[in-house]
Amino acid sequence: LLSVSVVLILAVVSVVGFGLSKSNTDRQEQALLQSNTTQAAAYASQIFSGLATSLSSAAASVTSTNGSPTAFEHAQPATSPLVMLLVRKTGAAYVVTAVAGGGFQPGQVLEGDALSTVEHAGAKLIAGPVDFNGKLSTARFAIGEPAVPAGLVIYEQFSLDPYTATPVTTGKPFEQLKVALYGAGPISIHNLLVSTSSSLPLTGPVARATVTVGSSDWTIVAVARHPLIGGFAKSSSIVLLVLGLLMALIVGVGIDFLARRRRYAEGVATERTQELLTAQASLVRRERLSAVGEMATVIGHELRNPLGAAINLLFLARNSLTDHDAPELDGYLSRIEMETNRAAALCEDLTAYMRERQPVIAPLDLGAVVAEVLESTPPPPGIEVTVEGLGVDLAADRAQLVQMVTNLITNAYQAMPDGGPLRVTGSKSDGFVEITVEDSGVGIDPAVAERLLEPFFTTKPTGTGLGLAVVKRFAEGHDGTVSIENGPGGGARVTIRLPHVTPQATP
Amino acid sequence: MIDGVEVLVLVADDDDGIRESTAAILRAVGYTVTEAQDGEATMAELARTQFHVCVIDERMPKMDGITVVENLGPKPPPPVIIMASAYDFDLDIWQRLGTRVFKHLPKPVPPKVLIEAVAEAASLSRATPA
Repeated sequence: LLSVSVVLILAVVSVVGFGLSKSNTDRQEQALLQSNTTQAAAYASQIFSGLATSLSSAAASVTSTNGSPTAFEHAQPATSPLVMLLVRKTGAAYVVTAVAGGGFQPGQVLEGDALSTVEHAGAKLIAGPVDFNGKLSTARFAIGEPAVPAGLVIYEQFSLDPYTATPVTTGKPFEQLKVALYGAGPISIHNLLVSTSSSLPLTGPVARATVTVGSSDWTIVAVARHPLIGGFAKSSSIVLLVLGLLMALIVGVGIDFLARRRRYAEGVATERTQELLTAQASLVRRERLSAVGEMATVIGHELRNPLGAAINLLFLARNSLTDHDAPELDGYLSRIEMETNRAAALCEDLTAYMRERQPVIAPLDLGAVVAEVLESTPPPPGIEVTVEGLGVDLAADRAQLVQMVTNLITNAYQAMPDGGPLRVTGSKSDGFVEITVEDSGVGIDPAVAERLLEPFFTTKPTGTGLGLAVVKRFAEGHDGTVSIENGPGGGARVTIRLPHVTPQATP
Repeated sequence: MIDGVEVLVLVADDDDGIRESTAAILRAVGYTVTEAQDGEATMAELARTQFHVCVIDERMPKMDGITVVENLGPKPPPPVIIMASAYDFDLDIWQRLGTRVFKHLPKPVPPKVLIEAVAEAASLSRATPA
């Protein structure tokens, strides 16, 4: 969203910049065009002022010969497009007295545009109507008294193809311009005199300027052939626009990229933070465990002797009571024995978990170990234990193995309050010996399977949560593993995998 | 008396409860039991009497069980040693003592295990010519 709005803002800024820059360059362009056009007009005016001079000198020679037509006879050859006439006013009519150039005869009465031109002739040169017949364009000029004797007028006209280059349109100011020169009156194709463009009217930004021809005003219209302020300046605004839009795009993409990166970084940071929190929590727990563990070890150690004594004394008491008349006493003693054993097992777990020691690996008889465990922790009524494959070749720390099997079997007992089958299996595969204890209880929640192996994690209302943790620690001490899952029957199945060690000579 | 023969057993443990109850169990089985409550007393008893079997605690005041075993001379033939160990005895000790200890039993030692171990040790001791 941020990137989109930045792109929009930058795009708007570049469009506005484009507008401002364009109007600025347009204004400059127009000013330059106008200035060039005015210059062109001045140049044209200068050329036509030369015409006025030539007519004036003709008038002077007429005056000096007192109106004699001879002054004209050698002025122009009969084939020239330039025609000069000496006209005498006779009543209301103007009659040609002398001709230089072709198209007119002495004695001819003037009419049309020629007539309307000479009618207005005065001391100063005037331009008559310009007319373009589609092929040739004709311009007319006249000068009258007092430049020439009274009753006389000098008339001049010339015709040209307006699209052919003339001195008027090849001068310096015209190089950069397309121009059209129109006679007096409305700007129209009909009074076009010359043009440097074959397509009229001129389109685009145009400039106009007045060309002074004697006492008449002609109009020059111009457009620029190329941008007068230079191609780059002219296109700078569009370049600016394109660059601006491009920049907006780049910035937008950049921002989007950065935003993505930031989101990614935030994700990573969140993840790391989570990991750190987890690690910290684990550290705190371990710290607490270690404090609890110290205490537990001391207590476990100190309780071992009194418990051992109690177990011994119970044994003695039971032997002393072979002949008695209180049948319930046997039950009580069994119960005391069981509870004391439980307490002893707890002490084992506590001290065993907290004290790390290298396992003492020696070849052993798994069947004997399991039998020993079953004897010291016999199955409660209703639980049937079956063993299988216990003849497997195994080397391990006997005491640790006894405790591992004890813990697994005790857990299994507790998982089956209503009794059922319990299987203890030994097998060998891939250089590992597997000892599996599978109960027929309700099984475990797979979600907590891993946690079951953590110390002090328990799902039982009464339990230290150390049993499986001890199994795990011992198994790992043997470079083995423990896994817990639900068996095909739905009950929990715990597997201890210990590397198969080639029996060595006991040190 | 075991099978009509007197078998002498020394029980060394600084914990009165353990020592007395262990001795009582062995006496009930038929052994002739002497008690010692620390390492030095154990050494004194061993010097005075030639026991067949010695059940000795790994940890005792004055001199621990390990040192006692290490100080036993080759003659007269020493008793067969059963060492009751705290769970966490380490491999070094095991290796150092080697075959001089017949059996390591983790504490608390269940009475049945104790009885069986002592019986084995006794038969081993009696098989060895004095």
